[in-house]
Amino acid sequence: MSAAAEVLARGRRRTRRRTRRLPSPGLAFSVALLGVFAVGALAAPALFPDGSGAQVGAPYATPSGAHLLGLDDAGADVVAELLWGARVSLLVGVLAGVMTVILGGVAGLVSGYFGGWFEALLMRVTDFFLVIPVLPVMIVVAALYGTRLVNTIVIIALLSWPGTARVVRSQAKTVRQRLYVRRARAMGASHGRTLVHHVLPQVAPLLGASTALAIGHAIFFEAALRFLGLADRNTTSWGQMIADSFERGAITAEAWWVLLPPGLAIGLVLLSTTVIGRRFEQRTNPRLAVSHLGLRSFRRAAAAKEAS
Amino acid sequence: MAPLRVIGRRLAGAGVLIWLAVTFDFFLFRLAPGNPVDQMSRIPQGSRQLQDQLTREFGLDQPMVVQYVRYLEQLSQGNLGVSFVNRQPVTDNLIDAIVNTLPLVGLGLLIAIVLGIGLGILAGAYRGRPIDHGAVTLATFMYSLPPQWIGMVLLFLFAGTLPTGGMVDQFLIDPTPTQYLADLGRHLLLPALTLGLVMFGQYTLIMRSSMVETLSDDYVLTARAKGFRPRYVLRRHALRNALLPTVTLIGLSIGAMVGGAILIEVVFSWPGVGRTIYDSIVARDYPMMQGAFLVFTVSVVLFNLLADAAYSLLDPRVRRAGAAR
Amino acid sequence: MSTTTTGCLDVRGLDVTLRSGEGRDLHLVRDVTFSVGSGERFGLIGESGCGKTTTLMSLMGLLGADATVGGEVRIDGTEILGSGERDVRRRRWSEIAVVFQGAMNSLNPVVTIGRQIAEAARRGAGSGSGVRERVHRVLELVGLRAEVARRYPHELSGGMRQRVAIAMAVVCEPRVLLADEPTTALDVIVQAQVLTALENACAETGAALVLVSHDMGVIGEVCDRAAVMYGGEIVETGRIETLLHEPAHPYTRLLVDASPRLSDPGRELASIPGAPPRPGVDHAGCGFAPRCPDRFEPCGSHGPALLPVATALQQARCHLHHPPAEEAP
Repeated sequence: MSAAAEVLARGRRRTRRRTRRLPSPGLAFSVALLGVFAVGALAAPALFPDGSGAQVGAPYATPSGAHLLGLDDAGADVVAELLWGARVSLLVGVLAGVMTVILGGVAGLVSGYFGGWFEALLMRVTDFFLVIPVLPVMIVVAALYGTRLVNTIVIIALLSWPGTARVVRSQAKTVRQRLYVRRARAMGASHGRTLVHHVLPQVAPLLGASTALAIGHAIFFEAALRFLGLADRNTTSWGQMIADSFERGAITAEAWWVLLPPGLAIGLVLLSTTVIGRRFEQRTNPRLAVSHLGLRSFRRAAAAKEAS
Repeated sequence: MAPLRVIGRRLAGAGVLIWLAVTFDFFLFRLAPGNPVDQMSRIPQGSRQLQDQLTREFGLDQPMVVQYVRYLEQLSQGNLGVSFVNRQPVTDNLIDAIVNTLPLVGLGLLIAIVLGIGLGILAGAYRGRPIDHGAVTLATFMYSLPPQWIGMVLLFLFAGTLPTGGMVDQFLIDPTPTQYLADLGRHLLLPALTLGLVMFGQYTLIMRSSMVETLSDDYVLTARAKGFRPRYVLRRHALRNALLPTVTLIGLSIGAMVGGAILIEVVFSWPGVGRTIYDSIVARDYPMMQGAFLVFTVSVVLFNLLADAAYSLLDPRVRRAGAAR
Repeated sequence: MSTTTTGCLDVRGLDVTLRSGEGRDLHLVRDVTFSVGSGERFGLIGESGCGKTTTLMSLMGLLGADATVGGEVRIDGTEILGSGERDVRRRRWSEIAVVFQGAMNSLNPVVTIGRQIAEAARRGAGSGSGVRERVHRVLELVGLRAEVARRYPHELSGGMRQRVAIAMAVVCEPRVLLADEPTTALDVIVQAQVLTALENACAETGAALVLVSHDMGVIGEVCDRAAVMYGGEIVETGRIETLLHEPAHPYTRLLVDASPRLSDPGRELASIPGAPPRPGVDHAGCGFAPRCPDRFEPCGSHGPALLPVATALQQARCHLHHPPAEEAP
């Protein structure tokens, strides 16, 4: 049997879960990685009490035993920058991510559970956000409303919640139809009680997934805004490190030790949040496992729904 | 005619979306804190005279409704105002920028589609195997990296071999058309490759899951039962069906692509729409910013419409069904 | 074996083992033997998971690399098992064709009916010439107008699609036609149309038909002979009238009682207590013993053999007819 024939034969065994799931590079690895970054961020003041940007040697000094990732354009230790930067990047990620999920979760739960005009309105709003290119809107809003850190967080959350709302809504809608929810209602449970005790637990894994994905999403956009000069320059973040290495000639200086770490850090954190988010999704609905309902691709789910 | 009705409905939907985007654009700029003219006076060359002119130009002394109607009126005539920076009509500036962005986005999209779909087919065909794990991990990771950073890494790797910025070599005197195109191509290569690397990951993921679904469909089994070579079955029966959802995704991914294009044009000093919006931020050139923003939004709507059309050409269920079921 | 007639399709001692994901071996089909003559219609009946579909898939050579198929399968006397991938592919459709269960999904949604049948037609001997005519002829054979060739699958009803699948299966005039639950999920009237189409198609091409179903009524309507499968084994085989009216195996009797009859719709239906065994799991004694109403002493420990009952045409795998003492060692 040729390889291709085997490929086709394998298609028949549709019940084999392992083939339907996206293989993931390991949940444990992802959690551990996020843990390392979080601990590093918390330990930054203890490890590098001078704060970010403190000059400790010559600009663009190569990596050495004392400074594992060398020094940047200002002669600051790249490891110190990375850990201090993690504080801001992760803070923006977590705050914007949580805000996104609170906004999107409430909107999605309420519209999915009660339906009616609110649901219709929400669907129109999310339809609109589906075609609005997010980054240009963020750019314009940041340019017009100012670049303080809190603004960055709020802007990201305000532009991200519709994705969460959409997936939460459809899950809440499904759960509402289930027998035990209808029974709870029939037995006289109030809407509030039904929502909290019966619907919320079913939607919770999806909220977990959304949070993980929204955190990655927010870190990504924070870096983009930084790069365009639309964020608070008084703090450092991974995005700022990328922007600095671009503007201050790290490429010309061939200082790969300055250029690579912040991008890899963002990439690894996003990879981890995606893996964790996917795992949560699989717990909600095994079918979602193949559709990879990331925030950035919630649009596809909507399209797929339309096409079916 | 049912198909015409479908097309009509799609067009109407797109029209409504564009109107919404235009309106959103209007209010986004008007509702900004402070008087827009105050904001505008922060521009480097902002003089008293310029401020008065702007107040009149935008009709800022008029009520909001009047402003809105005037805005729509001017827009329908293709008038987006005048750039603060070069005093040229915004529309003219934007047309130049659009013409420059198109080859970048076009080639980038092509790279992303070829790379993404190719890897997705491979992963789907060998699902559950190491090659699948590798492809999915690579796709997810590439998709996680900041576009600006990917561009910078490419700059770092290819500096010296390929031009690192701009669209054409300024020192090329009187080039023949072939020379010009070759030069343009060399400048285009890195930014387009960056865009391709940014975008291909999500195409890989959707193509893979689509392949997995399709390969477990009964008509694929039927085709095998007919005794066709596996390669033929994959190509002729699985592929086209698996491509359908991917086409939709490519249409929808254009929003993300726009974001990527802005960052990449900044990295490579590519004089396109993304670079325009960046420059207008730096110069506080509001009319340009508003215009560039509008171009992005409208092009996303149009591209979605295009993807819809492509989808219905490929899928007889939509093409013939009449209704959008 | 007492059956000496050599049919168009001869299956002897077919064994299918599947290596499961956890590395365990699942013995899905055990020692299945039957023979179908040219133009004859043979049924395979059983509950889901009894191995009937696996049997069909192994005849088509469509089981994956982790399935091991043993025994003999001959078409017109030529052994087809283990003849190599190329050879198996060459035989598919030209000698042995199949109609799958999923009426909804067994047709490619983006290709017209005509092109799908034409694609199949080119697998046969007289490829190239008159493909169009052949497509129209087989459509007519299953009671569809030639105009259907221009349509897409989603534009047809479930019954029409299944008839298209039958037309597609016989377009190369195969020697053997396999049909896997062709009427599942269809209502009774459409079911009758599909079965008629199947009978016509076989009569016209002289193909040997193997019809797989869980529905005794469907088998009874179409087939001349049938085999009842349980837990991967044939537990009884014989002429359809005998199976329906004088079943030898308790399981056959229960199956007959459990299926509705067009002639007697008011009859109360029985259901078979208990659940079918997990596929491929080995057991001591008779596989049906845990659910058998007539179970007695040896059933739990000794596995019965498939032996003739009354006439050589009917065989059953049951200690009721062949108590272990009588059995040859």
